Amino acid sequence: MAGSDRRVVITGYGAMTPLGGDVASTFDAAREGRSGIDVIRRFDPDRLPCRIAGEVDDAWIASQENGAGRRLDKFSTRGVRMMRVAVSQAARTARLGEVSERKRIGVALGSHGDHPDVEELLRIFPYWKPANGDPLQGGWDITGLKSRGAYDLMTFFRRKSDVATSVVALDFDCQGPMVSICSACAAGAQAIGESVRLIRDAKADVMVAGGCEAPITYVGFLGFVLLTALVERYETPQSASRPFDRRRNGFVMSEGAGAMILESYEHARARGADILGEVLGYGDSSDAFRITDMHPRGLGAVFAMKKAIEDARLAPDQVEYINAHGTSTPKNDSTETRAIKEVFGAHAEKLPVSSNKSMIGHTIGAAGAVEAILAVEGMRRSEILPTINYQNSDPKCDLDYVPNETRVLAHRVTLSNSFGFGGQNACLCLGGPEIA
Amino acid sequence: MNFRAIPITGVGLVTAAGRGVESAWEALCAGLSLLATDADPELAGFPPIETSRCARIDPESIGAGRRAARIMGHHTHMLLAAVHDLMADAPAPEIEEEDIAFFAGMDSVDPGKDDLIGSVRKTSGRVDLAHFFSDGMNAIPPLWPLGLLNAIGFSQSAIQYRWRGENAVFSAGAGATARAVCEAADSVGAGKARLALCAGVSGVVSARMLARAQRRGVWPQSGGLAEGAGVIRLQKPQDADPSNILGWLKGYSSVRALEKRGGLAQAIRESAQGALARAGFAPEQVDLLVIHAEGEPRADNAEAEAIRALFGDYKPWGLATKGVFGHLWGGSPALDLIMATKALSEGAAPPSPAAEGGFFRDTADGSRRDELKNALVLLQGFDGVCAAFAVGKNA
Repeated sequence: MAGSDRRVVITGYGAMTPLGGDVASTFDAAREGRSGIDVIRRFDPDRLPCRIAGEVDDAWIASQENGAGRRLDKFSTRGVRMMRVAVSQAARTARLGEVSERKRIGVALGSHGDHPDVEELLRIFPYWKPANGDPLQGGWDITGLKSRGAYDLMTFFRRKSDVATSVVALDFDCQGPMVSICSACAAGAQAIGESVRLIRDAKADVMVAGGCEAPITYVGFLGFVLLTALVERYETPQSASRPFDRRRNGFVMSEGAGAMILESYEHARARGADILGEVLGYGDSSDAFRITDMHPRGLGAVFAMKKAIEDARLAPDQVEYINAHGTSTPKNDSTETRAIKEVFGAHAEKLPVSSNKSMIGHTIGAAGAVEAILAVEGMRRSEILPTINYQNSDPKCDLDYVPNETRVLAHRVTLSNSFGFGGQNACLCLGGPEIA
Repeated sequence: MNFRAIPITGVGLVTAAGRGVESAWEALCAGLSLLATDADPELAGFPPIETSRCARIDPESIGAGRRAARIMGHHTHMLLAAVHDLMADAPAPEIEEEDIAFFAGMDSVDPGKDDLIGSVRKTSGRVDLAHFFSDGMNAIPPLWPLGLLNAIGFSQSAIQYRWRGENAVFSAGAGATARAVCEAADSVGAGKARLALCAGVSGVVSARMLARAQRRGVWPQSGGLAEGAGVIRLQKPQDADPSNILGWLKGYSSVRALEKRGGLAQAIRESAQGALARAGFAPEQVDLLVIHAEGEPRADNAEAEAIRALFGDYKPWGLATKGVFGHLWGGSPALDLIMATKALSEGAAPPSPAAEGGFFRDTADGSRRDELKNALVLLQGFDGVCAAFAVGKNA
């Protein structure tokens, strides 16, 4: 069942998260058990049942926008801006600019474009002309909209789900395959997995892979409020995200971006690139259960993990750490625990499992990429990031969740789980630099 | 670079012609355009636009429960209807759920005016977030945010039919659906799935869609905009019941051009050459050429240049579906691939309004019957993505 024998290594990565403006600062903050969650600043969340989120510091973004590719700024939403910064960090490490065959560099990103915000809706609302006394019947006064400049037509571009891929491809002169993935919380991991497939199939030598999301807007946030998926009971913003803890009651929405430069092992060696890690295997599956709920037995999660391990040609007991999806919702965490036990059997008892979302929150389309990057960085530093806010054990969550403190442990093989709304699951089997 | 052909064992299609392949095929053979000036008042502010819209679909007719229907819009209905019809016409063989893969290219889902206008009205025309959250937002259907996810239609299909294997949803446009077809073929070809479905879904015609098309320069330069969805089932050759085989996917290729560098024609040619090389046949063995022909002059000129360079003096039968249906964007690769397969099985080349380019054999005055063995489908997506599929009547 394994794909081709072409190995896929990681030669660069970059990230922006609520914890830091790059991978090193994010990891450093996380290893100290710091939380990036706080009261929402970007809009007034008063009266909402959840008023907290993980926001990226505007200054971190602005200070790293280097002025190159300014012509693309008009297409760049907040999410795309973070994505471009993350890619620039990754590209710098990987020395992507030195790759001469630009047609062999592709881009695969997970993202969902931007939601309309209330101000935008209010700006265009006067140009909706109801008819027949029915507010929902009528038409748009397009001429008026255009002539009065009430609506920035670039909005249509920025709303596109593939805008991140398009802009990054142009900004970094990547002329190879382009893939835009919209599978909710699994999108970032699926983008990395699809990149692995493209490199293995020799359709590209190098892929820029990752994901971005900036959902802390009125309407974006509102969506998840309406779904009652967000945490509503918490003592402080910093203690709200508590994966695997018995008192967990919802996830914390966050924003961010993560980018990896992936390339074939031969290509990386030939050009003397530093190898930071390796994507050993990829597994994906569908729960095929319900849009808003995981399969109660974690069937899809089991399939994805098994496939990733099989794809890596490893045995389950060779996996040394699991970077969990761990959203801090009651169902996800217990179901993920159950799935891990089914895949690993007795080995699960000895397996450290932790959730970066306890500190970063849930970055949706970026999560799979950001967490995979932190997992690789952890292997490089021989450290496993903790699950913070873990205080109350839950009988349904009875694994070693690396509670509250970073663990020093040399490890070479990590699984990174991502499970999306709608039931799409992705699992990456990652190797550290020693493997590569 | 010979590639083992993959049998196509089922298709489902929803277009303005109706549900199913036959209605679309009949429309194509009749050579009559389904495009008509759209009288929707919502579009009144735009220049007159020709569209071909799909009739609204009753969720119950596609097996969607009431709970699921709450988060489904027309976009999702079209995909589910195509999948429903495929499964009804050609029931799935007994295969483990995790061995069934599903890939789709989905166009953008836009918030409908019904979703948002009501809520904004209640803010009294000024930004009053407290008012919005406490009152306006109650006018938003509770599961509206999920309805906006491109992946919902895809997930609903997987839920309904218990597909638990490899999957991905790509967005947007024809390039996304081309990627879905390539992934499905790779999945079956590499033995990672025994059965794979690949689908393409258009957006829903709305003021937002029109504005996007206008900004992209696709419209009004091109022809009309269309709604529709198509799904294709690929299977491992060993598993396929010969009586269910509609045709064979023999080769596929996707190449990207940065158009500003004048590479579009070259990318179209390279994608065609890639698909033909996988299929193991020469351009002269292509009996039917399905061209993208979206009507945008620069894209069409590049396609014509690529075809001339690839085929020289040889003229296959030609087919362009957009004259009849309009541009389905994400749905168009599925439509064209399904119509190519149908043409091979029928041994008929429908008339093509785009045959005036001089590189087809003439079908302008009606269908031609011929023994068609091989077809090549060309398509173009956003951002210079060009793809080609080689389809055979036989393995």
